[in-house]
Amino acid sequence: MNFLTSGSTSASWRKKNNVFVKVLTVFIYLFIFVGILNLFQNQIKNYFYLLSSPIEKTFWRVGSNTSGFFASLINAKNTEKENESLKVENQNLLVRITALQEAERQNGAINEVIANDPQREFKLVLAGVAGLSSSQDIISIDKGSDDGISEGMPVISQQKVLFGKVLKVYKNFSEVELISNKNNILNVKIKNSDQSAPPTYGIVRGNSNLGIYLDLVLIESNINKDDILVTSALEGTFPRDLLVGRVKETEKNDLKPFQTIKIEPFFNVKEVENLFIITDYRK
Amino acid sequence: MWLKYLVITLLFYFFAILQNSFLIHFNVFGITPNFILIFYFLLLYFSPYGGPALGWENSFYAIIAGFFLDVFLHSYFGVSIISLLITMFLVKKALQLLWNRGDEHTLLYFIPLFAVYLVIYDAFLNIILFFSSPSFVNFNANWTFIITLVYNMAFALLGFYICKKFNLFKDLDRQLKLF
Repeated sequence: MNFLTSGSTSASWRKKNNVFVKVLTVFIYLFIFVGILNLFQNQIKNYFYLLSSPIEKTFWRVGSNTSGFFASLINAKNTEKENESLKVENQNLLVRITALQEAERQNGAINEVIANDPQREFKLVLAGVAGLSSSQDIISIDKGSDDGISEGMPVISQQKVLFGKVLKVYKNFSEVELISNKNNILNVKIKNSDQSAPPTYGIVRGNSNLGIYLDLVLIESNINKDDILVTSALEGTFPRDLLVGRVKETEKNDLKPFQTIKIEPFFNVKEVENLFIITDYRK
Repeated sequence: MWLKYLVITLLFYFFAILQNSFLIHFNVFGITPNFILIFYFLLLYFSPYGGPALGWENSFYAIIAGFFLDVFLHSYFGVSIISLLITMFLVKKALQLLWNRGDEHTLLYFIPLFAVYLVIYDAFLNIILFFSSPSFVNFNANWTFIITLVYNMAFALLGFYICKKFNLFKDLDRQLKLF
């Protein structure tokens, strides 16, 4: 009887040992496989993006058109209101432009400064948007090191809306970190309706899921709904006066020294197909 | 036999492209469904009874799905692969307990198991990211996770009914032979 028991025990021990060896072998192969993938990470990702780019861009376009169609059906009533308010805003802006042009014409010295202002002209590279990783707020664009792109370059839209900066560059593709990424910290200037008041500065932080918020604004600062946020160029990463967002909701807590304000960002990944990379801005 | 693996690999690739380009335009508060995770869970849930928790087939699917997730992740390769392998092991162990009770593939088990699967995957992914790329850890234990869960669950339930209706994955080799 003891002989039978010890026989079955050693068989079960051998079986467990076999399983352990198999699992260990699998882990070793997996480790080697993952190691090789990481060794050629840049090349693998670059070729993957290159091969998938035509399909991704097609899906991106189809997605944009489809969501636009459904959005227009859902927001038909609001579209009319938005249209009216945009017309009024447009007219106000035309009046301001006229006044500014008149002031410019009268003061020749300012014209010369403006003409020589290096902020006016940047070297831009046009890039197509290929995809978005919504979990990390990173978009991929179809320009890379072969096109003169390097890490840290600002990325904007045609309307000078700030999207983010180049995070990682491959041969033919790049990853752009949006300003809504949790790692993003951006110094901004708040332009309010009272032109005589000194400008207010604050920090825009990414809140992930394509959201941003304004932080470190002094509690006594007067921030109103719909105030516009633009880049201040204080941190040296982005040129000044790029559009960032609009104040959505203010909330003051007298117990805290700073306000935290909800911002509606101007960048909209749903509607963009092309972006511009500023290749020659370095403070 | 090999056709099954090719078709599933192509489907994972298709879902990877779809969720990073098409579905972005249908995001809810910046959240999009993860079709790769949903498809992989359906493969696990409707796979034939029995087999070890770390079976070759499921591990192969985990590696393929993890590879396509890692391509779009700003981190090292292997982060999603390892997270999926660990999650697969735990989910298969849970499924084996259900099979031992003789239960069929019911919705009653599908919903909580899928919710737990998402939580476990997200947790392990962020743990591994904490060691490999700490600045990209993004574990949101707030209302955005509820939205992620509900949005993914909606598509997972759709997948569940399709798989149940057409008896998908039960005998995939035979089904593919029809083509």
